[in-house]
Amino acid sequence: MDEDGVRVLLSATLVAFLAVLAAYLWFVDLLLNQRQFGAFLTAELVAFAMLVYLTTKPDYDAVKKSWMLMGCVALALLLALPFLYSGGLP
Amino acid sequence: MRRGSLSASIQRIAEWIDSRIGLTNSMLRPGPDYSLNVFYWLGALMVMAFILQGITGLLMLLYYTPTVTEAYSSTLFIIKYVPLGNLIETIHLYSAYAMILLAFLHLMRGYFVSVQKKPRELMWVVGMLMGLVVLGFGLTGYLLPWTVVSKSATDVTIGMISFMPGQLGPALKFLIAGPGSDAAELARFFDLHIVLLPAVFLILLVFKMYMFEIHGAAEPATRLSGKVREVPWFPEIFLYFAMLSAIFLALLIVVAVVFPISLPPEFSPAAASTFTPQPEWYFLWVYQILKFSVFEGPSIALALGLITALLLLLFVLPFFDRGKERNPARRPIYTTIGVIAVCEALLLTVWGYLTPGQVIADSDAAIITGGVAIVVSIISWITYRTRNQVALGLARARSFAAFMGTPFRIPTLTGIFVLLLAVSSSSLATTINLIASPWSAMFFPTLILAALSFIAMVLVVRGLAVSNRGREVQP
Repeated sequence: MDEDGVRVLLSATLVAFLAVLAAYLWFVDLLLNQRQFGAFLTAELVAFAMLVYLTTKPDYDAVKKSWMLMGCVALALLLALPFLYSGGLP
Repeated sequence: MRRGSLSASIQRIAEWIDSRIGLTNSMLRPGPDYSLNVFYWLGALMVMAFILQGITGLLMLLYYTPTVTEAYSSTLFIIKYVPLGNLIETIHLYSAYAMILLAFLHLMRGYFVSVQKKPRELMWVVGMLMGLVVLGFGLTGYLLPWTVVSKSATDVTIGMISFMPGQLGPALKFLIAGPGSDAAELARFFDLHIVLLPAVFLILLVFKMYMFEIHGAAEPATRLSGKVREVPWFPEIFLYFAMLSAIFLALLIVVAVVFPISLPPEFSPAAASTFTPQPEWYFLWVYQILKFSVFEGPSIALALGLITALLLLLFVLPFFDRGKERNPARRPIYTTIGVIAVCEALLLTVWGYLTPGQVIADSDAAIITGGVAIVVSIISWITYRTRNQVALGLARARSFAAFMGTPFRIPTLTGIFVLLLAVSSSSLATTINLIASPWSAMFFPTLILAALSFIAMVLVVRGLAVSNRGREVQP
């Protein structure tokens, strides 16, 4: 796969991630699982920022791979975060 | 409808709106490429935090009751029983903190790169006023949950205000806190928080944006040369700000998730008597100064007067700092004063947090605050001195290297120089040999020849140096 193909694939993955997470957020219990809602909403925002970053660069060479890696790590941590708070809020 | 005709219709509608409003010629016009830097967006992010405050505040207003008997219980209800109530309340608190922090960073950045210079003096003054309004938001909002922490801290702050000199203290106290009862105080703070301060902030924001439209963003202080590239508002600037906003909101929400708000006990005189009041972190530096024993008792008015004078100095900074130089590397005095101020503010904040209610001895205050100022000054002096020596050394080395290379590039002048060197050397040697018999026929002609050849050599070297001048500035 050429480098522009990688960029398209990454963008498509992020769009799919955004859509799935948005659909999931619709069904979260907003009283008992506020932390989960907050963590997943943050993941949405991080994914959106990554998508914007990818699309504003002229080609894949201009994309800083370290930024993308940081974004992916942040997404993983945010998805894992609600499991640390099993009791929910308050 | 076909896709082409749909996009053409949208384009026509956009053009119609733009022809009436003119946004692409004002707010949405292209901007300089150097503005795609997070430091140029600190003010915009602060406004973003303000908008977030407005949205979360309006949502909380659906349940909050601003009376002494119900303020605490309604806040507790929001946190415990309202869907997303805890998250919204926490985001409201942290976005207020973010607003204050961003205002401080915006001020610091503006100070160090001298954005306040002509023609942006009034933008600076308006920005300072907005900063005070932001602090007002913090002060008034803090009381509203009516907890023992917030009420006690607010009482300390109001007590400080009442010590202002003359009739200013009582007048300000009445304006801010009302005639004296708790109910009046809460009602006054609530009104200030949700009506007066937002209105003042919006008016100042409109005024500042108007001036921003006229003057634009200040150029980088260290920019030397090179053409500024204009980038279109859409998509470049719009997407850049969208990305920054998403990251900012993400940070804010994740902090709210990890550190959710927990409400302290409700205020009552009994609970307050067992509690040492301490203001919020952004007022801790003032609190710490007022705890210096020199400012105890009636001298507190002196401390407040000094703090007010410092703030006024900051307000009028553009009117006495009128030089054109903006590069902090070439403004050692202003930069050093700024670094001292930041270090002292941080020190006093941490110190105030660690010593609640403790009076600070004058000797400790003098040694610690004076020590920080002296250490920062020495570091700054050494930094500037080293930097200037390095710069001077580099410039000299570069100039010498370029000059040494010049003779190889200009062979004619170099050949003449070598010939003159030979003539002057031999004539000078002859003259020296004839010193014992100065009246011989050859003495004066060789002396004159040596002098002329030396003068000619100086002229040739000067010619070489002049031809080299254009190359000296090149790295």
